[in-house]
Amino acid sequence: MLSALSDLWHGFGVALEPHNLLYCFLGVLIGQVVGVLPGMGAMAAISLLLPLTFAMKPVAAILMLAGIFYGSQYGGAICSILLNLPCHPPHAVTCLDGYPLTRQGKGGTALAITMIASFVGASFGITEMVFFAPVLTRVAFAFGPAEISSIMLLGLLAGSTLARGSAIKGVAMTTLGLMLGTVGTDINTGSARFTYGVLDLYGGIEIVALALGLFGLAEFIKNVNRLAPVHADTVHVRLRDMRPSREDLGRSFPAMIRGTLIGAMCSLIPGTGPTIASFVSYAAEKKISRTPERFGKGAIEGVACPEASTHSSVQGDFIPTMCLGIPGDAVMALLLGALMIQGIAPGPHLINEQPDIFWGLIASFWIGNILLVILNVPMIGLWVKLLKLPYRFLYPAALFFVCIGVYSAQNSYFDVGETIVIGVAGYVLLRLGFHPAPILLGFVLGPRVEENFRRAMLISNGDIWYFLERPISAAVIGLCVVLIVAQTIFWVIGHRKRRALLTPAA
Amino acid sequence: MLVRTKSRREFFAGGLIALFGLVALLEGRRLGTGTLSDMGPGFVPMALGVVLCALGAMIALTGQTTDTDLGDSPDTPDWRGAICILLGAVSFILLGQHAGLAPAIFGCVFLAAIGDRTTTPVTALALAAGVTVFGCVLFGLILKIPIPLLGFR
Repeated sequence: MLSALSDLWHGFGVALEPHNLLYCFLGVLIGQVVGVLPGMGAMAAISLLLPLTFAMKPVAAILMLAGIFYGSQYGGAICSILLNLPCHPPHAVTCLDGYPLTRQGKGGTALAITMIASFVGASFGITEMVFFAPVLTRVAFAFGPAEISSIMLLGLLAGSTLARGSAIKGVAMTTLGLMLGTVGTDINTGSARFTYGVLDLYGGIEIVALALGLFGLAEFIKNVNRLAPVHADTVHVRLRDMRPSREDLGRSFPAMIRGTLIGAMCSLIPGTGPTIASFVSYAAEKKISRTPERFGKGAIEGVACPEASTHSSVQGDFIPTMCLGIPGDAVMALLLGALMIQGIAPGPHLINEQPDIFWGLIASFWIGNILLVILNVPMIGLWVKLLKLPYRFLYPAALFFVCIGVYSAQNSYFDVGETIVIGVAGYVLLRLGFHPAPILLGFVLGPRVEENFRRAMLISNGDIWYFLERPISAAVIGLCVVLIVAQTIFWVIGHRKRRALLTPAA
Repeated sequence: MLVRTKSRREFFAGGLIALFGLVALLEGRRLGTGTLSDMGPGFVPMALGVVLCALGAMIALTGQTTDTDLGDSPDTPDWRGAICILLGAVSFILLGQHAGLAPAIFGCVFLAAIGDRTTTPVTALALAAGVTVFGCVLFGLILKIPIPLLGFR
């Protein structure tokens, strides 16, 4: 307990070094801008800046990239409350009550409450990480290849089935990602896989090309001429509109606490990211409210609760990523990829061998969140103006950034071509109703799953039951089975309901 | 009608996944799978191929009922926008290799910009010129990317 605090103190020392502070600020600023702009995502922004970080020190790189991620969560709230546009999935719930508040002329208050809720949620998430991460790391040291493979399997299953859309399509995307991860020279035998004689593919698919193809190019093709122009002319928010009344504060404070706790719990279950946390907490808040009929018509609690839980789970999501090296969603996978490019092996060793990165990152969360509140409150007028930037000017410039970003990863035009192919494929997948985010999860974890699986099979001499003989591994495999069975049951129930709905119509 | 187009879409979706699976199976067979205690390089591709084929079949067969949010995929692609964006990216590769950074940026942004149906050629030119100046200064002069600003080859 005490050692965690002294480590945290050390972390603040690292994060407050001038250049680290600068990169942290740059990260949250870019995240904020990207979050506000409709049609742009945190994923694209992180992958764009990834090549730039190759030349940076690992600490500065990870502080900046993480800053983009949580910064975009703040920015996205502005877009969803003022314009009813959920640019990022977790904010879909915030729109429900945030937009009605804007129409009642209380948009400023809603934004202020959002900022407070975000800060409360994030602070709790960070505290959770400070005390929980060292414990988890100690447990993780006992893990052998069998445990690691099983936990990765659980992470992959949870990440793909609990995300948006159909579970089975999510698993298909993860598997496709695993397959893309095997492209290139096999580290164990040296044979080239899926290269078909193309020399540029021997090193594998470039992660920047994959991420920008799926989250940049494919999104541009989907949105061009389709994204309705934003009508933000009526929206005016000034600083003095933001001061919440005593009544608003009194109502939203307990909601924030409840949201925070729900978010913290969700972040401990692998695969349940901020989106699920926000939905669960909104539903819970509505259920325990004495006046549930106010929800959806501008209840301030309906803004405070999901925002707090989103931010609490966003910070908590870093726990499995940093302690076990197992990311819960695509953004975490990308951050993990960034660490691996820097030559840092993620896993339980990270916290002891790279204390600067781990504790510096945690300290930077706090600093970054404070910076975000400072950025948001006095400059709210500027962000509202930014909302009005039309997509038709945005995407051509963004396309150039995608091209040059991919090129600069390895100074290779081949990678740009790779992005074009992946972008077209990603668009086709989107059209067919797939959500491509789990591809990245599979891609990053793929080589490590294979490595650990092979190692486990070597140790056990090819006995597949080895995974069930080791208690921790068996328990995790059990969880996987529970997850699949539960998903199947939900699917069958949903199937029956839909059948029942369709029958009278037909 | 809606149900019909949807189930056809699911059929194609499943087919595509199964196709990926087939590619993996062929590659796995070529590389050699080996045994569990002594795995060949093709073991994992083969396993993934089997899983992908099974998932593809499940998607195609359970089709019309699995999907929950249709809102994410528009009915028809916007061909003009899509083609212009792709041409923009291709022109970045070609112009970057043969003409230099400035023409590459200009071509990429201009071609992508005229993909929008409300953007006039003049606006597109202005946007492309602006981004070119900015891009040349940031990437050419400050970050020193190894592409010459102008250099015809």
